[in-house]
Amino acid sequence: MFSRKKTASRTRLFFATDIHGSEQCFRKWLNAAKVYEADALILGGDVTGKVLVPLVAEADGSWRGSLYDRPLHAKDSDELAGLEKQIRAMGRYPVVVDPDEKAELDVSPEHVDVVFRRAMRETLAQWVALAEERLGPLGIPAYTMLGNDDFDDLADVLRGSHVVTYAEDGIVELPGGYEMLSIGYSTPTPWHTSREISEEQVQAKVDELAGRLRDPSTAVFNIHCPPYDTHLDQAPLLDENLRPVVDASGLRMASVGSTAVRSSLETIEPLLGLHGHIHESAAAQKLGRAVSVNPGSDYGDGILRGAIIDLDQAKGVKRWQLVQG
Amino acid sequence: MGVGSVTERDTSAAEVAGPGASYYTRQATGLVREISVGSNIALNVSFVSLPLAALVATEAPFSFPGANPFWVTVICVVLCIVPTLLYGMLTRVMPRSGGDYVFVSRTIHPWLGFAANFNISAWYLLVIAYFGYLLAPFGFSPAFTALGTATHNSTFLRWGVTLGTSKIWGFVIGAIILVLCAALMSLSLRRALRIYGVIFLFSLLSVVLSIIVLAIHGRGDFMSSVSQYGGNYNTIIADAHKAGYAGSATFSFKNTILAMPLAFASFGYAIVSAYAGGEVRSARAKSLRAMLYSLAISGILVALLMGLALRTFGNNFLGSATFLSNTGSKQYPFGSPAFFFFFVSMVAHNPVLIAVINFSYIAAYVVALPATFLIVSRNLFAWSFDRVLPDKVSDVNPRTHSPIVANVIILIVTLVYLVLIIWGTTGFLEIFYTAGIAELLTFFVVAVTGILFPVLRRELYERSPIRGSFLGVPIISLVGIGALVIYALFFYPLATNNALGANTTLGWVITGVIAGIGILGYPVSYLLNRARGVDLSLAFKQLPPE
Repeated sequence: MFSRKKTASRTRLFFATDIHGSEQCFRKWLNAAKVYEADALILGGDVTGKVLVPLVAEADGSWRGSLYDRPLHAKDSDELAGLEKQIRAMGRYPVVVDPDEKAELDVSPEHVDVVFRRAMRETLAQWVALAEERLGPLGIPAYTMLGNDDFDDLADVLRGSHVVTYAEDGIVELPGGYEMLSIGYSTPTPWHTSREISEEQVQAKVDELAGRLRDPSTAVFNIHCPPYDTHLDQAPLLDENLRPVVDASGLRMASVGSTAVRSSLETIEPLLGLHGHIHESAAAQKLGRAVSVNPGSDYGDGILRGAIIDLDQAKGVKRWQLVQG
Repeated sequence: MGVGSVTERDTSAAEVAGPGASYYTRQATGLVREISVGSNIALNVSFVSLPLAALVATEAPFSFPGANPFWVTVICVVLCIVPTLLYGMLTRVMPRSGGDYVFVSRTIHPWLGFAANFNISAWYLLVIAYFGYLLAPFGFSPAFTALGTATHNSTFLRWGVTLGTSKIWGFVIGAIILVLCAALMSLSLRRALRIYGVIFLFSLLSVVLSIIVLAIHGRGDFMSSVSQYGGNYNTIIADAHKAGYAGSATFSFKNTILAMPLAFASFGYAIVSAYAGGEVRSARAKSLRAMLYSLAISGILVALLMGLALRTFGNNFLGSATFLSNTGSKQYPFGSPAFFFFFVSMVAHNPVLIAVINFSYIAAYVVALPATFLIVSRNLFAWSFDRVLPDKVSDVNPRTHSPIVANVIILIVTLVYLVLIIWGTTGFLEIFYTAGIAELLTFFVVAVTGILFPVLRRELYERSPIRGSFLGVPIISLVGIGALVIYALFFYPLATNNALGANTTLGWVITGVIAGIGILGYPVSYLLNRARGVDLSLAFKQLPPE
């Protein structure tokens, strides 16, 4: 990655976020440790997918579905496995159903909910097992948390690992002795997602966790929501129908980050801010003394966007680089 | 939870479907509806400068005698369908803004991505400066000349002549508009964009009013107007021919084809929305269709304008007047350079109408600046975030939160360009069309990217909404080949024909220097970064997916 010389005072972090169920991105995250020579892996929130793709069993023993309005067809179980892999790579959950269950999914949002939650839980459990298999022998610590798009009850799945540390709502110590506080909630969004809290609540959480830090000036703030009015929080402005607003100047963009996060970074001045939430706003920016990073997300393409950050005992954030692996 | 057919921003869930839904969504961030076709068309049309396309009316018959501006427009628009398709397809696969920089870097190599993107950005800056320069002689000068004649106001007439010929005033007006543009982009982007939207709508008035004026007034009216402005229609044609103008009323297919780069300067840039609209992904073909509709609408409007211009002014007159004007002939009778909107103003007579047509045309110059400015500033950010440029370049002002460093860089470079255009060698003045040559170099790289994409990024291609083949060849590769051929068709006349002055020695030298800086810039940055311990090659390096 950066220089291959490894010094005792340097700690290299690899941070990715918002992979939204993309198995390919998760596997890349695990592989990033070796490729980028990272001392620790951090996965920001929003680990679960948003789309369920039914593959319907046909009378002739094949399965049919569609992707991007393009028909999918698997003639045997090998082809079905291939289709499922392809769908998972894009952050979508394949669900194999018979015509009756498909009909039920079509009319019952409750049933869709049940299937979604089952798919999320099973996928996360598989991912944790994979992480233990891959990272365990390497001895590289890894940290995860949930985001605003994930359901609270999934924390149990992530907590169950002896290799991956569930970091949310607490303080963990990274290699090099740097403390990291983690908050996966976001401020309110137009979608009223499952884990949203007010600016005041964000501020209270940051204050509470920051108050427990030994030395806030050497801490990492792993906060899903990016700071307000920065390069990191620019998203398309939406109208009341959730349609992007376009005018003669092009697509209208707006700041959608958190004012509480911004003021915390500016007043507490930690070493580093790690953020996500806004996929289209990959950027890094200094706020006060803190370098804040949002690597963005291209999970749908199976591309893992991430940030490589070198922390130095003497120099703080010595280097950062955004990558698209 | 929603049941729906889905496209993506991420994933733009939207239309609620019932039985037979092909997938299901849940309540999650980023599930947005697609931009409506109408809005998408407006977005794309805004990047095709309709008023500037009017340059074809005067420059085509002047530079390529016998070229028919109507057919130049129509053929160019039809040919531009293929490159537009290419950009539309690449944007569907790699939707984040950044355009060619992202397409090329991800598909081939970031070195080539940077070189191609640097090249086109540097030339965009020159075009910004050029628009600043054109404001006085082709914006304010015809406006005041036409107003002065219509109102018999000698002050306006004097201003018209001064603004059409004075280098100092050319620089002052150009510099003011460049500084204002930079200031607006630096103070408040949102406010600037709102103002921009209003100016854009105003700029379209020149096109609409011109169509009406030309539909009402025929050749006879125009001949009388020429007399009123101190000239004689037939004498202008005769003088030009006597002075060496080879044009005639006879249609030349060859010259019509050769003149197409003139129209490409407008229609070739419908693809620019790939930079600006790319944040919202559409997995569907809706946005791609909107790009094509926009091209068709713009093409029809400009073709209508050209057709009416031929009827009212006549091809021979347009070429002859432009010949006398551009060669500085004393036989040129008007106070302003030969120019489409100036001729429209001559037949308009009504001072208010003249003022609206001309000032809305001036607005067309002005609106061309912020969009291009924004594209270059976004490119600077992208290079900075990827560490090719120092991270200082993406610094923002802590008080205004605006990208002050990037904007200052753009302003300084455009002002230097402006000085060179006005006080540099005459060759520099002709470099506008060299920009066509140079920018086509980047378009060539993008076309090659489209051809190679299914091979070099097979996995991404296989999962993408653009997957599909014809006779076993991926459609995007075929479109890429088509685009390459069409770009070559635009490149050839610019590179080989002296009429437009695109191929001057100075033009080639500057093209080479800028391309060279782009090519050398990446390795230099790579070495400097390596000395600091940063490996630039990792920015787009693929991680093992298993």
